Amino acid sequence: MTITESTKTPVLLFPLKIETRFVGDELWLRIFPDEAFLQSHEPNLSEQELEDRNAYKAASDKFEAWELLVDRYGAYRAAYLVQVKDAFIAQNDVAQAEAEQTFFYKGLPEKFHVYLYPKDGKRIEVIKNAVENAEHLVAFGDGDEWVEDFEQAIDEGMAFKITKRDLNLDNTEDFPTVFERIIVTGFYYRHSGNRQTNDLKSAEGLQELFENHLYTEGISFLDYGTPTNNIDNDRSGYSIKDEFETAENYKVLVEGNALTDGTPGGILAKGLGIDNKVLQHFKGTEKAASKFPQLFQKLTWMALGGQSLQMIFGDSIPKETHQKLWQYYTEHVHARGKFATLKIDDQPYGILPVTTIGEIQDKISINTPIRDAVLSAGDAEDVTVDVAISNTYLILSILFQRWMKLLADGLYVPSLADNLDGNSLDLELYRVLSMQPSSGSHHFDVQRYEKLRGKIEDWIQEQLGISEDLGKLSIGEAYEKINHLLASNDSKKRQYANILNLVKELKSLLEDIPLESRGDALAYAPIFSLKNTGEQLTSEDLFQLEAEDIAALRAAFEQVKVDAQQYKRTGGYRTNDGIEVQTTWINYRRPATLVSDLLLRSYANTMSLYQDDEAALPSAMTNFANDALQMLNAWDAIESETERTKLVQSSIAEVLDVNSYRLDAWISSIANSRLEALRANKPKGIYFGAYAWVEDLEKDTEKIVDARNLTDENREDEGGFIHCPTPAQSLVGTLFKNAYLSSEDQADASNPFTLNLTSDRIQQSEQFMQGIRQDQEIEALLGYKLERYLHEAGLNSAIYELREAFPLEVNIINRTDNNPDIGFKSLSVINGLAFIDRQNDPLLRRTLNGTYTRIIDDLKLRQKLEDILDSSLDHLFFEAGFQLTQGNLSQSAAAMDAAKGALEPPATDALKTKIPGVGLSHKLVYLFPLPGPEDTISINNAKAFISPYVEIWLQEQLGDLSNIACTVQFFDEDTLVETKEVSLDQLNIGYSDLLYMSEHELSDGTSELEVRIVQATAFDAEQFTANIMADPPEGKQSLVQAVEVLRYAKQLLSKSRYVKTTDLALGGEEIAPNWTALKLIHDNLRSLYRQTTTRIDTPDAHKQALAQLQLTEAKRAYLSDSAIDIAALNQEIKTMLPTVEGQLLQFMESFQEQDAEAFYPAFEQLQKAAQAFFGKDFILLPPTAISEKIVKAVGSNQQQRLIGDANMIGAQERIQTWMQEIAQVREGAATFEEWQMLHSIWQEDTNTAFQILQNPTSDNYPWIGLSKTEINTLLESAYYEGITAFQELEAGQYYPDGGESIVLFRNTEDELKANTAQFGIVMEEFDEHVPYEKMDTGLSFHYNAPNNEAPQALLLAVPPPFAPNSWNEKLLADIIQDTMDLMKIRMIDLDAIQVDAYNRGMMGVPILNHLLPMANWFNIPTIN
Amino acid sequence: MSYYFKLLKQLREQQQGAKLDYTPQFLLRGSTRNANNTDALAMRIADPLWMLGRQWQFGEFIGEDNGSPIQANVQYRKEQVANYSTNGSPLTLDSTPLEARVEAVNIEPLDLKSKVRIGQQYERLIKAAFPTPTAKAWINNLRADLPLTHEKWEAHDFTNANRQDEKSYRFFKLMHGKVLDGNSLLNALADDYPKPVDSIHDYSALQVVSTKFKQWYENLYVKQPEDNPAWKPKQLVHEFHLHTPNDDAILSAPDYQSGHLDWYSFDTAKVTLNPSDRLEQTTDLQPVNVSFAGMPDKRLFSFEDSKIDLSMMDVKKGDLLKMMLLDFSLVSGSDWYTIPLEMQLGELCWIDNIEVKDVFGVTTTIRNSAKTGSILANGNPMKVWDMFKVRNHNPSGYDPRQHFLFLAPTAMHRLESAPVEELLFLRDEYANMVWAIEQRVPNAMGNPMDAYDLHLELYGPFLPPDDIQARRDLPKFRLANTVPSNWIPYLPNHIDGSNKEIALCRAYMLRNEAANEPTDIAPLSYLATEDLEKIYEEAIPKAGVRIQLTKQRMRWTDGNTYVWMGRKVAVGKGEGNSGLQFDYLKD
Repeated sequence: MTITESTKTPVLLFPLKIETRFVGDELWLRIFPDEAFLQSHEPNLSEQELEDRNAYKAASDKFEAWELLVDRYGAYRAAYLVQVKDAFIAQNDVAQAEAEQTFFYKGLPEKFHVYLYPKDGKRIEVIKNAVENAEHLVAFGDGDEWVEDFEQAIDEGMAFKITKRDLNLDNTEDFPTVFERIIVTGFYYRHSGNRQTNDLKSAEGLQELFENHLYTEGISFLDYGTPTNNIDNDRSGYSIKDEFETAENYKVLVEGNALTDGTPGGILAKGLGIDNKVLQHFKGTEKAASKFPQLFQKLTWMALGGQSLQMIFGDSIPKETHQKLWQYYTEHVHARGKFATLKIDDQPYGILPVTTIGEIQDKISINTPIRDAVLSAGDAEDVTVDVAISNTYLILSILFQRWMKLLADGLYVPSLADNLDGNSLDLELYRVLSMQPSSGSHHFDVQRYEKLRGKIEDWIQEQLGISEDLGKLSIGEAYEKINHLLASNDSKKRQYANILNLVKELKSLLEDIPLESRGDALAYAPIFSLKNTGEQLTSEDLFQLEAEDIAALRAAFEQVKVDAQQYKRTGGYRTNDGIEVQTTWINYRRPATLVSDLLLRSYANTMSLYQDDEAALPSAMTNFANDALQMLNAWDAIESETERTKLVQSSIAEVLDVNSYRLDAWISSIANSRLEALRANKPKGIYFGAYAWVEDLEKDTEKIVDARNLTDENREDEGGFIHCPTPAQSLVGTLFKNAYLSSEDQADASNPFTLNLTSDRIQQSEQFMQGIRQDQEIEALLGYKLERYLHEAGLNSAIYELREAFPLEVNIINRTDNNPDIGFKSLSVINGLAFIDRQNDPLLRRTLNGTYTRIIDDLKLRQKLEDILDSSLDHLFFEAGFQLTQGNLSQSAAAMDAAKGALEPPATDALKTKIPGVGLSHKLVYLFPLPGPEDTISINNAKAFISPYVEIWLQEQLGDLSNIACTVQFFDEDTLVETKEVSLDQLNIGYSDLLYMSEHELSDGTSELEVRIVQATAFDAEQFTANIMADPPEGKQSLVQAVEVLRYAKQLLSKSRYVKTTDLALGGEEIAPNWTALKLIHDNLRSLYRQTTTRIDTPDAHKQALAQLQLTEAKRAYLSDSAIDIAALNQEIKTMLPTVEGQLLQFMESFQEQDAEAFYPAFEQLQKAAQAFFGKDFILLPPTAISEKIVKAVGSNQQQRLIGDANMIGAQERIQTWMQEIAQVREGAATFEEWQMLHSIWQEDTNTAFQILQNPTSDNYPWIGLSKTEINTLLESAYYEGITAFQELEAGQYYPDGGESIVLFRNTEDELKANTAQFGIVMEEFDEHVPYEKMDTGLSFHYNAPNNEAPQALLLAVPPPFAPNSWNEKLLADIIQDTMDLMKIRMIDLDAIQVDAYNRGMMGVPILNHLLPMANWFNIPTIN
Repeated sequence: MSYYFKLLKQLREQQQGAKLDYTPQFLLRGSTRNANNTDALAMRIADPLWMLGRQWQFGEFIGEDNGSPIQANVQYRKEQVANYSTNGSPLTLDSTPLEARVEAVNIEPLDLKSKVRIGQQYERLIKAAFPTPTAKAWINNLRADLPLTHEKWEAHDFTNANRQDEKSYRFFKLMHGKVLDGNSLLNALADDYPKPVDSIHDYSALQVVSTKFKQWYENLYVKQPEDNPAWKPKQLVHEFHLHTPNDDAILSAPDYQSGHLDWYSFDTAKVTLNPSDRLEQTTDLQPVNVSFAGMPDKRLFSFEDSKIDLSMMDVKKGDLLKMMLLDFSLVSGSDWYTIPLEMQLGELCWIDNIEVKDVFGVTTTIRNSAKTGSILANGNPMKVWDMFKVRNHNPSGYDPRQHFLFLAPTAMHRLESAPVEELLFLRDEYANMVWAIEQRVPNAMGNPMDAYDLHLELYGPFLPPDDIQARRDLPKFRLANTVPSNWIPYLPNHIDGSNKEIALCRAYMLRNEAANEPTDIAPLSYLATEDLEKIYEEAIPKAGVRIQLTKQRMRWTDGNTYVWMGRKVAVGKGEGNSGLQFDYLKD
């Protein structure tokens, strides 16, 4: 079949992957589209999507609405929802239930052509049936049978059986076993049945493909140099989290970017001939690259390639040709390629314009001297483009062939292909990795030095009149000779000092290196090897471009513009003195740098072209100067100095590269220029298709597939399988086994990856490591074990002998040669480690004498001890590997350090069976009752005034204080003098005061509470002893017991943390903190502050009030009923009040801003203020905002749904049981339980209630604290009739992963009110895990799979200069084949050529000119 | 000054000063080789031909006579452990987690908090079941019948002599008379308390409450099967076995000690079944390449996720791990595949073979053998390559019967209390005995405390009899000095019927104080008091032993919660010296 599409339009080829297998007398081949074809875009919307999309459309704040969409769908799907049109929705019944995402390939070629290149044979083309489902070939899911089933794949057009008939072989001929290359091509037809599709329709198809990617995983342009892997100091340029970044995605995916000719998107849109519309939404599409590299390349041409041409061809090339080549070079020769790299999903794809120059190659001989070829090329009849360009093609064709010949002849380019040419894999890997895409260091060409050396030697001979032929001497000998000659002549010595230095340098460069390695040494010798200053110089010194250099260059080129004007005006350039000067002269007043040298040399060389053309010269000067100034501006425009340095260095290196060894860039320039030409004629439209290649396919004659039953029985033993409890362990096991097998050729004992982790060794090692963790010494632990073995064997006498021979040395760390006696020898146990280590010590045999054989050989006790060490090392080594693969680097390092003995062994985790399950979390929260309107608390009850909820809570617990009382007996010696009854209401203190007083023992009468009680009796107690009785007065509650209740209440408060607003959020709601309530606390504290400041003027009048504060003196005076020591009080106040004031002021600053994040820090400022008043143990709680959702959940009958009622599950009783279980193991719950026990006996009829709130199924799903049986009971019960929300959980799943329950405890029947402040504590919080009954274990196996991959490039095929009018598959195959060659040429570098040249003994310059497109030599001292 | 300029200057001087009749020409040339190849591992985006060239160098374009695996079927045999035994006949495993079943300790609820908890629970159930007046009447009767007691404190005898720790004492006083005694209640209910004595009260309704209550109590703690405990106190180990239904595979854990029970707690497996019999087969599993987070994709230029960065790893030891990862990532990784194989907890699984089908339909059968299963070398355990096998570490040969995986029904995630009790055993060579130091013990409420503090609180500081010596200027003969009262002695005794084997028997130190008759110092812990009266000598190695009692809570596969008190045995802190001396003179 012939393709009829015009070659006026290029073809974009997407990559494929192919796999091959020889089966019988056939070659089977499979084609797999690469990820660039893979799609999962679903144009239809789910009902939820439609709803969300409409909400976005209606939203006034689009960005906010966008954030919600991204949060739910990710940025790419959100982008689709945003752009999908009403009309599309109206035309299509898009809303549908959520469907499983399907993956499919889109835009595949209609059929594939396979080109086979048998060894030494001709190309054979095979075409098979059409690709079925080319628009929608399922990759995963229903319809993907072709992926597994080969025959089905053939039916789909995605596989081939290549038979003898296909190869035109008869039955007697053998099927080839080696194919040098296999190429697959395919061409996409937009409309089946209509072959005459046009390029605009096809472009639409391409755009659709891009769009689909855009809405599934996005497409980005990548910056040059973006890492795809993470390394030490740099991270990969991609993260999954990018998808959820909102701001940048909004800018790119929703708004789109403007594209211009200089932006990656603009350049690609032009190259592909498609609209900007899609490309506007590619990330990075708008980033215009700096103009510096391009202008630098342009401006330095005449110092580099252009100068070389001049040197080779002299006047043979006219000025116009130079101009043409210059323009061509500037526009089409790109070190980095023409287009930026695209990222689709997680794959980067370079976009490479390609063509074939096979036709040109056919016309010339590889051995034609370039000069001859060029000079005769003007006669080439078929060349239809400009002669200069044709000549360029010609030169490049010759060089292309020569380089390919070099490769074929064994030019060494490192590669990890199977054939390593005798090199080890490690070395080859090192060589491969050491290659860089552009030159990073620079040096002088050694051949120049050889010539220089010869010249210098001649000159020295002449100057010094030496008759001896220095050329026969080594340079070292020559140096010595000259030095000797000059030694006696000081004047000559001075005169020739420079020469001597130079020879010395050359000596060090050339002579000190053995001849055989000189090539390498010189090749890697940096330019700085000529340095004579002793400084360490870096590459920056060569490429340095400082601000002063820029300024000097700017001044110089500004002057050029002025000069040009003057030249134009005056018809020649003269100085003010009227002296005519050379036009190549430029006034640059700075020490030269490489950059300035190149620029100025280039300027000089350029102007020399126009020297005889006075009319053109001023324009040439101006143009050059303008470009130079633009380049300098571009340098200025780069803000970051690091970036600037990087860009300048890479630009210079790349310019030098394209003028030296980057033949590939020149050959690619042919495709670039052809593409430019095509687009000039036909700016829009593109065809597209697909391609694939492999090479060096060889039949595996050892493992032949049995064609009858399709079995391969020959490789079962390659690595076997490993079965581990979890996939993560199987992964680590695999790594170790792989490493073990890789090192299998080593002697057994030295294979470091020999792991023996059977159960008894793990027990043994775990016990040993436990001992070390308990600070026991390894030597002693092994010694204990050894002694146990000896004891069990009845060899007790050997124990004591071995203790003497191998004593444990204690405290020897500080022992030195000077202090050898530090520490001592302990004979308490054998030093087990010494026993192992000193196995060859004759002492051992001597010590054991007759029992040596029994202990060492028969009982193998040394081996047993070694085994303990070995099992521990294996254990730790596996642990380190496991933690490493889990990303826990510090744990991994800890395990390795422990293996080295540097740290104590960490708790190990890697060998445990980790049963997966559902993670749940629980909180036990206590919300306190709020003061009612009747609960007015006076500021005189200071603690309660600041913390009223604690006061009210205590009040409800204790009841009326007048009911709590005690009897106080007063004794005179042993005689009872008086008995008084005191109730707590007589003490003039609040419940909160009691709380804090309860901590002190009621025993010796000194605690504040006791003093107050005695004081309250109003009995003159000074001369008597007071005794507070434990039993309460008749009809009263016991004070002693009340104090006990308070102690437990205090313990509960102090062991809990305060409730935060987020603790109670349901369904991810964001509840604004209650700043108003917080401000109220502040206001109260402020009032107290004011009161206090006024009261200190007359402290004795306010003793009682001041005694409530943390003012010892006031308290003392109050309790002893004495006068206040004003000075002492003032001293205390001086400490207290500024702290309060400071915290209150800081709070107000936060309050003004009301930033939600600052809420709790602001509260803590108030807490500090309150604690300054009342002491460090004063408990202040922040207000907690309560949402409508919580109020509704608590107030509804949800509880029954969650935990059933008294008849079913048990409701309150069930939660109580749950709490009791927790209290067994958690301190917080245990404290609560104790408080609850006390509280319930103090107030037996208190109505207390637990309530459950939970996330994420806050309304209808049973409580996650219940068992599955209980949940089933509830689900099946009448409570759930008609309620379907719980069906969100998958069948068989009882607990939502990440489920969170909040067990709310409130001993009040008051309703919760939304938007009121609540106060509470979190008494307990913990996570738990409900394991699954079944789990996936990890089974890994070794299977030698093919390693080939799809090429990482989209090829933009353009027709060659001699192309037919229509595209055909063969032409595509030619282009692909040329690309395969070109790819290899790209990997040839100067080092490879030089090594090769030296290896072949080709020392002369011509070989390089013979091989290189250009050479950037230059005559350094040309600047005057 | 740039070096370039220095070079120019130098050459110009040569040219001008020395009148060098030669203008040297230089070819400035780059080198693309960089000895520091770390950056190359970043696989940076470059020009398209460079990226293709790299793929070529790394062998990504080599054609192979091979196909990617697309399907794998595993031939396997599975057996579920169904029975559990200690030394007696096997019992059926119920739904209780294995660890709870093995470790659970039965301790009577004698501490005050447990008594109150149980008592209050019963009262709560009564309140829920009866109208308030009836409930109050029942509760009052019960409190009178079963008043809260403590062994030291009789109902109304709160004299100092009988005080235990202060906090517990206060708690007791507060509770006394206001709750019935939980332990007494349990004992009474076992005797069908309360027996109906009249027709006025609804005894049957109370029976319902009692039934519910018993259920609650049963659920609260996992109990040790009393007739078949796994704990061997003389050896300080748990010993138990798991059996398949036909006893054709028995896993034995003869010396399980630590607080985590897993597959490696079993030392030996006695397997008599043929693992190649009765094979089952998985259907069409899809193999995927073995890879780890942060591992470079086998495809050279695939993007890694920047969030996971293994390059930050700083692990050395000859950089073996790095070498291992590098080798795997760059060279061999694409040849290892993994498939998930579902197993039930408590199952043993033998893999016979894996049939791997490639994309051409060609099947390869992968088996383990002596070469690829356990890799043995000379019977030396240090030269065996193997993992996750329940067996002796020194196999004599490759035995397919030993090649099973046991998926232990183990408790990875559980809540564990701080130790309720902790005993540290150490050998005292000087005193030629073993000490058990009580480090944590519960007070009367049941809350753990520092044992030394509690001893001190209960008995006060030791008052040496020296104080009553009349003459202080003469040396005094002492029968023995003292050790802290939380050090419990264990003395060696011959085991009955054996002249050689020795057991350590718990003994008492004497409290020989001024003005008091000498008394035994009783241990405060359950472990020392009841559990560990006699221990085989070899169970206390010189490294010492630490034994703890902790409470543990976990949720199991059925969603139920299991709470149990378990022992944990771990290595101690080595030898110690109490300073105990006998028959000495004191200045």
